[in-house]
Amino acid sequence: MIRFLSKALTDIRSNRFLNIITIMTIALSILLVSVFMLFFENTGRVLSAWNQGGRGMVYLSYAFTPAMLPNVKEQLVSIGGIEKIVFIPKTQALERLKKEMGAKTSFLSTLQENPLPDALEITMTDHSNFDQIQKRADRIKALEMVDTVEYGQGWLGRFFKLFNLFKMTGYAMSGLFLMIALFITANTVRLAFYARQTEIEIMRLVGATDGFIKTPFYVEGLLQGFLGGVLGILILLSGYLTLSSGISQNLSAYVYLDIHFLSWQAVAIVLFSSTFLGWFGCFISLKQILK
Amino acid sequence: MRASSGKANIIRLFNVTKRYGGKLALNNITFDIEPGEFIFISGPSGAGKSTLLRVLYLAERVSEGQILIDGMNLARISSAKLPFLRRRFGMVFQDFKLIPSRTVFENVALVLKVAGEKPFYIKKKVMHVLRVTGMEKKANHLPPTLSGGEQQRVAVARAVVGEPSIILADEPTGSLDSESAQRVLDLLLGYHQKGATILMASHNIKQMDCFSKGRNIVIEDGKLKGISTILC
Repeated sequence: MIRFLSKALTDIRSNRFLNIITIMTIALSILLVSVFMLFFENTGRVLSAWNQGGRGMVYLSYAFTPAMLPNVKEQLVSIGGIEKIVFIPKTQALERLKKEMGAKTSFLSTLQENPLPDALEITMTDHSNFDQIQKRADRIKALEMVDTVEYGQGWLGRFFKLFNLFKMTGYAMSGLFLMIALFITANTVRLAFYARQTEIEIMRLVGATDGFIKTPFYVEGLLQGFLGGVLGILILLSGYLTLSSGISQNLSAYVYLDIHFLSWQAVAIVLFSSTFLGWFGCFISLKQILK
Repeated sequence: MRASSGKANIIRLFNVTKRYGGKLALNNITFDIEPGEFIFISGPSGAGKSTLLRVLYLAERVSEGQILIDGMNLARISSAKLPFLRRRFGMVFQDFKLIPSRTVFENVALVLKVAGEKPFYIKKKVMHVLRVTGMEKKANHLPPTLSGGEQQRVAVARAVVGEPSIILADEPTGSLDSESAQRVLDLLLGYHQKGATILMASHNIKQMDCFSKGRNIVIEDGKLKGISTILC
């Protein structure tokens, strides 16, 4: 194996320009895919936080009395997907409001009665799918003692839809760029093979097996893929370090933002994928050439 | 065909025919070769001498007939087993067929590397054959920096380093001056005297020398014209 690795490195050095082009192509494809991954990872986390971890408020009608609470809770549980239900009586809700509004609560002392309804704060078990949350909320709203359900359906719902659209576009573009990288890698291997055709013919004459001939190419493909992946991740990291602190500082006053780099698992998946890409490009090229 | 001397023939051809489209390159060739023989394959250019050697190491498959190498029927050899057949031969070509980007040492060592030999053994064997062929001092040179005679000596070194029982030489002195040609012939003779079976194709009949077990096979227009013992 060391022999094949040494041969592969020698061949990469002797065709430096071609190999640099291939590694750069893989790096740029990986960069694009990683940018999408970074965007989706962080946006998903932010949306989850904005979605208050799947929490919603069920505002009960004015006809509700505390004696009806067990029945209402039972009805909610029967809908399914609800992990926790906390009853917030109107008195507690008013105290909370006074605390949140701070000094601006003087107008509340003029009120004759508490205008706030009784409410139930619910936490959903699975809040990753906004459509599902919406359907569940509609079923809750249909219950007799329920007036309205708040779960961020306004702007958050629209944002989720946009996010999903971006996700699909991201997948499609990533797939396209990976295909381009694959074809360029396959073509590089083809060119390298034809450049070494005399050498390969002589190797065959002295009794080299297909495995002996092909293995250095496979090793070369693996190296190209791995180096391309590493380069792509490094470019992404430098971009992230440069931009992320600025973005967080400028926007954190208006919205909750906590931007992280890709997790170790995501980086490992990216590197594995790029290495596989390098090998696979080699495989499909050699399969055709040595048919 | 020569009467059997009792030893199993190392190469046997039965009615071997090779067609390229409508043209017959080899036409119904039959002969046997005993181990340790020196076979001179002579004939004019285009007679089929090179084609005869090519069907032996399966660079081409015959159109009709059978070839047995050490009892092994070449028609039954799959492409996966072909490399192992080729390792039984040492081959020398008119155009040397050395890898220009690899050193003399690496070119000769290739035979042992493909056979999976260990680096220590490879170094020992390669340096030995380079010494015998007089190319030891040029082990780190690249082939394009060598003369024709030197390159052919490297090719002979590569042909013999794996200690094959059969050496096929296709016009090995065709592009050499007489002095270099004689040196190459002397090397081949040396290996023949050690027991190797050698088949050498050449259109230059003056190169036939006095061998202890030598025969001349004459090919013309793809047909076997005659087989004779080489007389000193």
